[in-house]
Amino acid sequence: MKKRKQKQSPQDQPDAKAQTPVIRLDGFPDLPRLLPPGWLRSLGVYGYDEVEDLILTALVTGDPLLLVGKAGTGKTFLLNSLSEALGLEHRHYNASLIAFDDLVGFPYPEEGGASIRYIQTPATVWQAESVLIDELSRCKPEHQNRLFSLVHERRIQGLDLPNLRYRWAAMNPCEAEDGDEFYDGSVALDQALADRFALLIEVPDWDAMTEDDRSLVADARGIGAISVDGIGLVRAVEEGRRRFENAPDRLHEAALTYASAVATQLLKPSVRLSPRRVRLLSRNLVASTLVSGGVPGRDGFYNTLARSLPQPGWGVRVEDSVLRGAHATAWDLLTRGQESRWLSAVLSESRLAKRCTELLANAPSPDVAAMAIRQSLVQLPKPEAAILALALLPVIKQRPDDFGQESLAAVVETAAPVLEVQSEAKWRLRDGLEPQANPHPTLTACAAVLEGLPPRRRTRATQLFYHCIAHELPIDHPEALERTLDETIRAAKPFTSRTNKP
Amino acid sequence: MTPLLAHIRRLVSSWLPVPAGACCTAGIRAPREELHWANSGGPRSRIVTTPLVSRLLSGGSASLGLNPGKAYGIDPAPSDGDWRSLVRTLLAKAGFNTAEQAWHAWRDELPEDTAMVIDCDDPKSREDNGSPRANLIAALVLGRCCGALFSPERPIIWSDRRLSRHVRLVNCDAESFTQDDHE
Repeated sequence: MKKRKQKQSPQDQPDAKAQTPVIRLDGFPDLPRLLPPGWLRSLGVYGYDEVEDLILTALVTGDPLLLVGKAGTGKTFLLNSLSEALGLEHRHYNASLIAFDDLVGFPYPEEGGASIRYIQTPATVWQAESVLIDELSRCKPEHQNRLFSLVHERRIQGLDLPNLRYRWAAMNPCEAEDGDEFYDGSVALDQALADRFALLIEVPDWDAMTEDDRSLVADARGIGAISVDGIGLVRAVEEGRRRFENAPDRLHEAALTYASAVATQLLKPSVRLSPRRVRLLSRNLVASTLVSGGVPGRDGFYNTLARSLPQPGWGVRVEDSVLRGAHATAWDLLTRGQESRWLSAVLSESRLAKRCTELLANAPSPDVAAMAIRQSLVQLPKPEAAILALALLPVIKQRPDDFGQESLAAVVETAAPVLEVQSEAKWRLRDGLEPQANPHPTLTACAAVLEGLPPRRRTRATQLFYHCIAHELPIDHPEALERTLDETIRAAKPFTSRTNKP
Repeated sequence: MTPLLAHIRRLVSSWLPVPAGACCTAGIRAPREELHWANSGGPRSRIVTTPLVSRLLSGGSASLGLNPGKAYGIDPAPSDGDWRSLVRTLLAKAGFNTAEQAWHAWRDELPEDTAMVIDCDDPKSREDNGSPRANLIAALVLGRCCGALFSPERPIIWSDRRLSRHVRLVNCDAESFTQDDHE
């Protein structure tokens, strides 16, 4: 977590996240990541790969960020480097030493004595764009209260700080008072203050770093170098803000559903999340999703949840098993809702080719795909059900594991009678009229459509027409029915290759 | 109309019942000649039929990649109608305890892929010789046939209904089936 002269490009780093299978919700727009994995390395910060998306999230939302970690883990270095790279007017205060006058300047009465003004110095907060309050847990209680409005409202002494974009803080852990990790003077934050930080990120220590990262951190060369924005951090933050301001409603709804469910689940093991915390969690989920690609992911949501809890601020550790349990329930709720929405959308899709593509490409799971296929075959008018079965047959037969044996059986049961017609066409003739001169009217109309078709298309259409006529299914517009058949078969065709799995 | 015919017609008309008023409107029975058949009970139309046959499964279709495979059936039928006992006897004589065991041992002779199933009632369509081994193989395949689907992933279930079928498996080549005419 030291700075080196020779910084590594993020692209040079192994992309561990890209190799991990990611379970994500479907139906969201895929956006490029704001910055490539390992982007913090370009600032000379190593070992933070796991939390770098959340640090970028805090830059996008502008919400207060608190880093919690042992001494010498690079918290201060990281935050100061970020302000340098972003070109911000930065203030770095040590909360254990701070006097309030350092923040606001020396007060003096205005002419006439109607109000007070402050003599500004390079250290006063009035012009700051970013503020780092270091050693927050060593702050005197009365100063904590004064910092409260700075963190929460971007105000001090009741006055707005219009330039202030980022409010950051760092502190040592304050939980273990009976072991080596005890930090004398590091006291638990007031819960109300801790709850104002949107993200509370526990930073990694030496034991959590890879060998390579340890070497990079231990290398003393490059200490003191200025951090520059070599990877487009400013542009990425602006793009992130734009995405955040225009975040789709569906993403907000997913985040809200998840955050509410987590808060409810955590009540049982007595882990309270305030209503404000639920809202902050929801914001964090939306922003972190947009930072990392736009599609909610199970692992991404968990990481955001784990770093959105205020409890580390007052020295309480939420058991990982408790958090994972709440996460699993909330994610299940979210995906169940998604499955239900998908099923409903598919079953209300009137364009058969579109429905076919949706069934083959976007089913959330084999079980739901099977349900949608079976319901479609029952729900659709019989000629259309026959078309859908013919289109699905080759794909599902090729990949029964993806759609289930039951949907294969349902498709085959519907398609087989279409492909094997041995019946007769019946029609009513007035006495005295000859069948040869007065043939089956629908058969005649269908024959006219078939006449102009190329061979394969004609073969498929013939089977469909014969099947419908044999079973006395109405064919009001043979030409339109044939066109639907052709479009639906074409929709299924790309999925017949084994490389195209849903 | 000749005078003789006109005379006969007048004679016959007097014997026919008078048409009901509702049926005598010009719109329904416009030609005057037809009035004489109204309400007489005779049919005015008939159902005609024409064969409608296109069997791509049993006949195959090279262009759509539908390839009929082997036929399977147990022959002759048991005299007492107890197909399951017949098959269990065949299984025991072949030295197997379970159907799955037999499937595993003879898997080289059994179909590997999912296929469509059509009933073929004509015993002559079967290629096997009706030997005990052929009948047991047929029983194994029929046990995995459910309706129009044969799937090696399904369990072997022996019911009298399944075992009494004569079926042909039809393979479907996915890419041919959806192939465009211009490809």
